[in-house]
Amino acid sequence: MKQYEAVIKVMEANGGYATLGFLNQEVLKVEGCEWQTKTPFASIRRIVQDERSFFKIRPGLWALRTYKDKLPPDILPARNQPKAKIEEFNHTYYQGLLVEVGNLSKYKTFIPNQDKNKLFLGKKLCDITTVSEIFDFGYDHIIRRAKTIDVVWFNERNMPASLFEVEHSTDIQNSLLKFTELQDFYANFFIVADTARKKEFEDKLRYAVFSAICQRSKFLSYDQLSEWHTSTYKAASVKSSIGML
Amino acid sequence: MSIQEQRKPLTITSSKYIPSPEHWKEMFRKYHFYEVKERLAIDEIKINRALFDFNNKVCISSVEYMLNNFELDAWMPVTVTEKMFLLDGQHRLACAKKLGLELS
Repeated sequence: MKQYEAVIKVMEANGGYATLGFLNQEVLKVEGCEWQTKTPFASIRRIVQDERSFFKIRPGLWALRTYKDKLPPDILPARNQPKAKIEEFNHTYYQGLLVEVGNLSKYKTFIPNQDKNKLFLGKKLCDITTVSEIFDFGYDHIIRRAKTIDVVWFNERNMPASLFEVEHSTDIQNSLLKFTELQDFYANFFIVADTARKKEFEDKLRYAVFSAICQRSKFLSYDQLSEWHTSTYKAASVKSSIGML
Repeated sequence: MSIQEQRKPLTITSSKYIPSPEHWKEMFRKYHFYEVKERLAIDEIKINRALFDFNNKVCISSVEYMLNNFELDAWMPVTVTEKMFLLDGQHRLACAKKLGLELS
């Protein structure tokens, strides 16, 4: 079997689409396909960039051309969908990527109750998180605010390690206020948004009220997150191949 | 937004109010540039998209999702200018309107 056929096979088995991370993990397991290269992941990336067979849906998410009309709307919104609806799908997509990166990085992952039924690549978000109720890691008023944060990673001691707010269209300032409330925890804060909003993030972070969190607050663009997701899967695939997972 | 706690969407419609929980109001009160008001008349809130940090349109399905998966703890107050122009919370505002609330 040729390498591109192995990629197609994995995508077909997954409904005609896959994240690059998922491909990195699954394609090398396809029997009958030899990857006599030191850089199989780069080969997979090159293969999906072949526009004759594949197309990009959003950063890190690829699909088969032959499935273009069969993909569910949460994967590929119809062209006549309003922009706001597409943005909603994107918001959930990036939440899902963060959950998967967290899971593979051995964190316990949590999303807010109101997002649990949202669909990420055909699965409910609550089905991929590892924690359904937020840990009771502090005062009640702090927990009640923390449990509205888009994605929270907890460490092995059930304390918050990284907190993410995906800002597709909402106000960055409110998210920074939420982070400020959590400044006493040894955690990293991330605003995840389109690169176009980086300056807005930097401007807001300069406000004196955010001085306590400015060193720990980072901007993560969608492309960077997608790259992080792909790299995490790569690492997991390598670990798996040498029996570390 | 307002006081009086209730949980189920069905009961919210009868109250004219969805109270924003105290933990949010307490957070905003810490900052001198916010003045927390218990109640605002929805009809008085005006929209000038130029004032939004990020000029997006209201997504109706997001509003419906919010209604069907209502979480009181996530019901943050909307923010407006002194002249009642909305700065943040257009989906919450749309949600409140859809619930038939008079005040938010």
